[in-house]
Amino acid sequence: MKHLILLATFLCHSAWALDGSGVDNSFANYPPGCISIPELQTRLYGNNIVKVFEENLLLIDANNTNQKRTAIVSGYRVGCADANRSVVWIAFSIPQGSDPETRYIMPLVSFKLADGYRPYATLSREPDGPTFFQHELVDQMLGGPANNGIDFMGRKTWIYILEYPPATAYWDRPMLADEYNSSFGLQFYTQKSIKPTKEVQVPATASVLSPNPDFPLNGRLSGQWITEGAADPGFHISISELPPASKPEPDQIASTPLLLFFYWHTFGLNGEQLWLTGAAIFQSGDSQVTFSLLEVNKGEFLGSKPADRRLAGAAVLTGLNCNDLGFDYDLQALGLGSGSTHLRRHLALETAGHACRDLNTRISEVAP
Amino acid sequence: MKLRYIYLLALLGSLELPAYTNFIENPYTPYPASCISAPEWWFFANEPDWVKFHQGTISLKSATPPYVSRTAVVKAYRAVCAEENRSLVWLQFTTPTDHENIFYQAPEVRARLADGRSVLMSLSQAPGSWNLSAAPSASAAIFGFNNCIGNNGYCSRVGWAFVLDNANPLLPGISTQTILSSGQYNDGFQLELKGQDFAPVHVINVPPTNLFSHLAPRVPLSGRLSGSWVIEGAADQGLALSIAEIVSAEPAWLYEAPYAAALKATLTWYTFDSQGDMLWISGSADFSYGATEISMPLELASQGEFQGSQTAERRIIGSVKITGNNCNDLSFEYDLTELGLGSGSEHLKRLFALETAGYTCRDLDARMKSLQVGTGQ
Repeated sequence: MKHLILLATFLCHSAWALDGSGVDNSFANYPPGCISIPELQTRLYGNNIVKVFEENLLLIDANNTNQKRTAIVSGYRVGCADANRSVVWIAFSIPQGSDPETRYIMPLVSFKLADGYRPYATLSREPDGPTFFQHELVDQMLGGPANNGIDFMGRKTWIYILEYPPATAYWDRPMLADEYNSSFGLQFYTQKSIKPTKEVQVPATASVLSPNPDFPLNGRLSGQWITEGAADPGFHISISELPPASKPEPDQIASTPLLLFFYWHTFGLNGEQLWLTGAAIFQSGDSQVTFSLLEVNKGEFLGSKPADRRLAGAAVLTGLNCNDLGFDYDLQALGLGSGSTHLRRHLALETAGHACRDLNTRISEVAP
Repeated sequence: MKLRYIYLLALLGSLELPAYTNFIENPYTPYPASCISAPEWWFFANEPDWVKFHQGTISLKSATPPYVSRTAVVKAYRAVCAEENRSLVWLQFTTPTDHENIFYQAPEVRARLADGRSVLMSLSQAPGSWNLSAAPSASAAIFGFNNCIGNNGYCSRVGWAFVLDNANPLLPGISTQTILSSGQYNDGFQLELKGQDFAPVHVINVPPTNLFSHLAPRVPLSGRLSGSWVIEGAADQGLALSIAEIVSAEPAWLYEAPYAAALKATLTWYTFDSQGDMLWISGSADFSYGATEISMPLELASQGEFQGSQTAERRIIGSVKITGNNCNDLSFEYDLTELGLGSGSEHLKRLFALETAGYTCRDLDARMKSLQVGTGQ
């Protein structure tokens, strides 16, 4: 019976929208941190995207549902910084020379997994950038003239992220990241078709991509971090955003400057307690930030007396992946030398409701 | 061929593809995002903090056979938030119990503003609440069924509660010009619910938030409170709070119990000892969604080694209790008597009113206001 919900979902044309804006999809089968800066994805990872299929696909003409017209469907794997992880993009393109007034009804897409399970796929849009306002809320159509005056005239390609929906009643089982990054089939159904009108195979991530060398610093990295092998000391990283002075348009969201607050609690030359702080403002998409480290001493517990502050050194923080930050420091002024190390998450914990990695990876870390 | 697949083939004639934006939160929620950082039951546990202002019946259409219209009860509530002049509007639908296997299509919900504009709204769920057709469809929403399947706990549910929300402006057809501001959401307005095709529009008059004479006394502790905090008047010292998820190696995929990990708070306090020397102390505590206060022991680590493997000496030197008052205010009771620093009760405020990037606690209006007045609150 639960499958009926799935089917019923497709039956209806309500303009009413359920919006899970309050929560993440806990079951996203890619690392959420991998798409935290979608607008910059191509610039950041431009050399780590591979097209895995391109096919002609007949879609229903929304203006004349007895008519089918050819579109081009392409699939891409886009590399993540995390090993053996990528995001699958599905792009629908309208051939050159097509009637610009034509509107297409979107196809249904379902996975075809190795064990025969064929759950339907959800196509998500990136939060901004080139995919913004790409189709109508109600009718899910591609192409055609302006949608209430807000679509981009002349758009030829619509890009979506292929994913598995969050836990719902029509699940048979979850589809976690390992399966998403293995080879799987995709089936496209157009309206009124009994059989899939197109079936393609998406190759495994590891067979076509290497991990990205960079990872943008973002709020999903906030939390407690430690240095492997160093007992007791730790770091707290807080990546925050300043509220805008005026209400931004949606396509400005990704360009909000971010502020890093960095705390390091450790020990001095003689084993005494030492804590250092640093801060830096950087732009969304930056994967590395350099900042000064301050020593703050001779203060007053809960008092107003200003402490003595002095420059203790400098540090460079580099995003490598959700659980790995490069950390270079220079504390020669304190007699502690300089060095280069990696930060790992404390107990693999990630900010509640705002995880960086996919659930599959996080489970594997705590599994015996 | 699996049963599901047969249905799929049979019904392909009117298929459409849902699309949604689940991976980014809606930055334009008209309520403080932290106000729904607890499961649904939390909001209705304390009656002074919510008011039912409407109850009526609405004709809904079923989305599956038999294609009949059925009458459901719709109730509307406001639940006050911890922030001034902020509340949530809840809509709860209770479906009939005399039919099994009926799925109802949720009504289209529009807000009619004072200037006559009609604004399409969406409905959100609180984390850890019921989880049927949770969010995947932007083109339709289904809820409600009364049959039992296996042992998944379906049998008893006949009521579904949603928070009235702005449609995400990242969705096509929605923009920052077509959503409710926090001010409009908390003023009085009219809701129009369209259920069954030929049924009259069901109108609900939503009263303004000022029907409450108080604020919610607490806010649930959640990841939205993670970040840097300071004690007002205490110079050059602060606290780093991290509220994180403890992932289970064997998560439950129960439909009625959507995945909600246990939470762990870790706290590091950067301050000074009685001699003015640097002092850092830390603690942690595990808790569940909905908790508004936690207590934890505080540990002191000493005689450690910079970047070395030598284990420091650790001992418990006190304790702290943290209580969530609102997005920018945590009560902080500490006992550091053993260190000669006494005990006391303070309030923590956010450093520079900064909130975790992409995962803010307050609504946008409140954050912009704090920037403009430069209070940091």
